[in-house]
Amino acid sequence: MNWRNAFVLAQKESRSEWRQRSIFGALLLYAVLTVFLIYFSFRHVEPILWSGLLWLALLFGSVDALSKGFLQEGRDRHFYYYTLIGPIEFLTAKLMYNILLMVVLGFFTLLLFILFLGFPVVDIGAFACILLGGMVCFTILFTFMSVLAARSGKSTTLVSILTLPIAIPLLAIIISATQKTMIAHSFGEYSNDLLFLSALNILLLALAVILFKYTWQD
Amino acid sequence: MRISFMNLVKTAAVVLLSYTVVAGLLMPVPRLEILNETIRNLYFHVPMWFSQIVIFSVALYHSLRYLMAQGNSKISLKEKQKIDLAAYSAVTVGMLFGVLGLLTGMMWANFTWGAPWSSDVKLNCTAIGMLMYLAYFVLRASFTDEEKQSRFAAIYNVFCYVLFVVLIFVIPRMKEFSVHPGNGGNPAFAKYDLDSYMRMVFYPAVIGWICLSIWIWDILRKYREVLLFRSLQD
Repeated sequence: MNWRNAFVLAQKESRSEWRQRSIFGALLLYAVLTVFLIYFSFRHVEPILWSGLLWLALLFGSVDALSKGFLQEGRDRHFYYYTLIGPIEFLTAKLMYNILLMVVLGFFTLLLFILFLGFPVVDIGAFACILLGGMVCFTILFTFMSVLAARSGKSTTLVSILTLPIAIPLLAIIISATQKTMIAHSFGEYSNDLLFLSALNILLLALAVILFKYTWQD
Repeated sequence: MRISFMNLVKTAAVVLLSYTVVAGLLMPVPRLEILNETIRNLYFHVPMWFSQIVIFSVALYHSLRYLMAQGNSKISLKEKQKIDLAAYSAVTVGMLFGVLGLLTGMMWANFTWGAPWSSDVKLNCTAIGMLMYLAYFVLRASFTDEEKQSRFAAIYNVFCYVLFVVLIFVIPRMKEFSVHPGNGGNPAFAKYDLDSYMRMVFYPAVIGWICLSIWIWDILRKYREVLLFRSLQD
């Protein structure tokens, strides 16, 4: 494992993203459209609904943002990477870049939500922890599953089919934790949820790291 | 007759399940409100889930074996395909037992909780678990290359099993409320009303159903091997 290689690759990813700004712009526009759609369908959103809608918007945003990465690259690019670096370095680079992308996208969606639908959260610190933990969870899951889908050479629907069943229970836990940040003032109320979320992140990361090397050869 | 592991399993399945059906329907059961005679479903509904987790563990074992063997050139291609078929068949049988478990559970719930499907944590978690394993079949179907199909199916199966265990054993215990015993603060069967007569049927029933699932798996695995290798000869 060479951290420098991984870092260089992650840098290259973000640079090429920056050069084709239209794709990144499309993702931001997608976020704006989703929030607008919610705004026009509900107008006024109750706090209970707010957290659910926020996470649904984030979930569908991340399906779009993360599944395109591997599907675009194709087989030839994969062979090129294969000659350059090891599987773990590749995964680390992709995860670093995807987490950065998701944090930017998530923050942007949240800003839009605050702008159009208000901000019912009381405990901002805990909310930030849950948001970050949830986003990292989604990123690891989607990155790994999109590798599986990409190697089959089939359409993006496969990514959704593979990830959504696993995302449903995660979403349920994250949403109920988010709802608690709207009423509670003490950390003890959601320490359990936070603990579970971090344990799950570690589990997902461990599984991805252990299993990724088997996807490496074509 | 040679005594092999499979012969033991088959004999146990026949003997224990005949006993389960006869004793399960005839032996005395405690008279409880609401449950009444439906408590006998315990010998059929609960062992389905035991068998499912056992057979999914068999699938996990064979998927791990496949991933270990996959890079090893000493192991022949045919041997690797056999391991993959073992894992694939185990997932299929696991799904079968899951469907049977859901059906028997829905029948039971209809008489005791008033509806075949209630929004209970454990019900929802199992439904999601089944969806996760259905995705396994979709993933398999979307590969055209046979070697890649086996490899990626094995990778997904390992990933899936770990999350399935979290889903089935961890999440239901975190929630505050569940109608299932042993979850959400409800007492488990041991503390409940499983009296000594019921234990005499319940434990043999669990072993019997597990043996039956292994038997079905063995037949399915061999059937698929025959299909595959015959098509290769043509």
